[in-house]
Amino acid sequence: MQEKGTKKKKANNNVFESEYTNLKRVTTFLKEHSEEIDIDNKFRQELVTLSKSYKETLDESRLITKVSDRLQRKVETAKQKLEESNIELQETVDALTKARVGRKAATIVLIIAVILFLVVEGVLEPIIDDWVAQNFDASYTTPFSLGVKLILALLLRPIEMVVEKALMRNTAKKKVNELKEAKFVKKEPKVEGK
Amino acid sequence: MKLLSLEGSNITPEIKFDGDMGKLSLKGRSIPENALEFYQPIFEWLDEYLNSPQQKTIVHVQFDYFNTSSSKCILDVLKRIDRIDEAGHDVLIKWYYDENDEDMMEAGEDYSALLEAPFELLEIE
Repeated sequence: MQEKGTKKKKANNNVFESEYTNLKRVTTFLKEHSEEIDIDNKFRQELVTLSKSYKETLDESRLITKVSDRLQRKVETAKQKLEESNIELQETVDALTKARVGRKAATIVLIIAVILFLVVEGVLEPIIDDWVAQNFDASYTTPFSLGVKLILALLLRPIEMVVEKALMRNTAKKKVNELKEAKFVKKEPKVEGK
Repeated sequence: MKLLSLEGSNITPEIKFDGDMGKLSLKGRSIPENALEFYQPIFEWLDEYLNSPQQKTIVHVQFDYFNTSSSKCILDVLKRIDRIDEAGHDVLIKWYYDENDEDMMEAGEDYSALLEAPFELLEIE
């Protein structure tokens, strides 16, 4: 623990400036006319009491206003931090969803690739070979067949992107539906006696 | 004199007032909905203590957080302590604040400006 001192500071608070000016005017008036007005004068006594009480109330108001301002500042800072954390959390959730969807899309594309490979090898290749042999020279069958396979292989990446997009859309739709349902459940009034 | 001891909670501070030792302490957060209801027994205890205070009274105040209505009640508590000082007894108010809590330090400064009793601002590391 470290002692900071016992210094008394009278901070100026402009919000109550006019009230303090009024108070000062009254206390100055009382001082200036102290000899004119009898010390036992009831009006004087009441005015002294009133100005003392007014000063106390003013000091308290100033303190409470300051405390309130600080609280508001704290709440605002906390709110900002919360909003920032929410954004970060949302970004993380989005990244995780994207990664999950990406993995799912890659699996689907792999299955598609296997099916395509089997279809090309088992069904398309003999058809292509026959067609090339009929229309072109027989030596073109291998490059032609490789070309078709290359085109199909190159199509895998766009297919993956399309699948990924579709899955993302589906996930977003599910999320919206969940939120809608949650909102609906929240708003539904309680049925008593059931 | 009867010991005043109130358990602290999430919304009310821990209160330990030992009249025989002249040691009073308020610690924790003070954000009750009805601050006056919480502080009323404290005021009553202090009013009784004011009748026969110890020659030396030390008040330890360590708040983490307090709401606006509590700030008025805390001032009322400290004003009662101030009256002990005015009556010629030794009084020391120790206001503790976390080293990172500038707001609480400033609040202590504001309170000290309204009181006549010796007021110490102490930083907790």
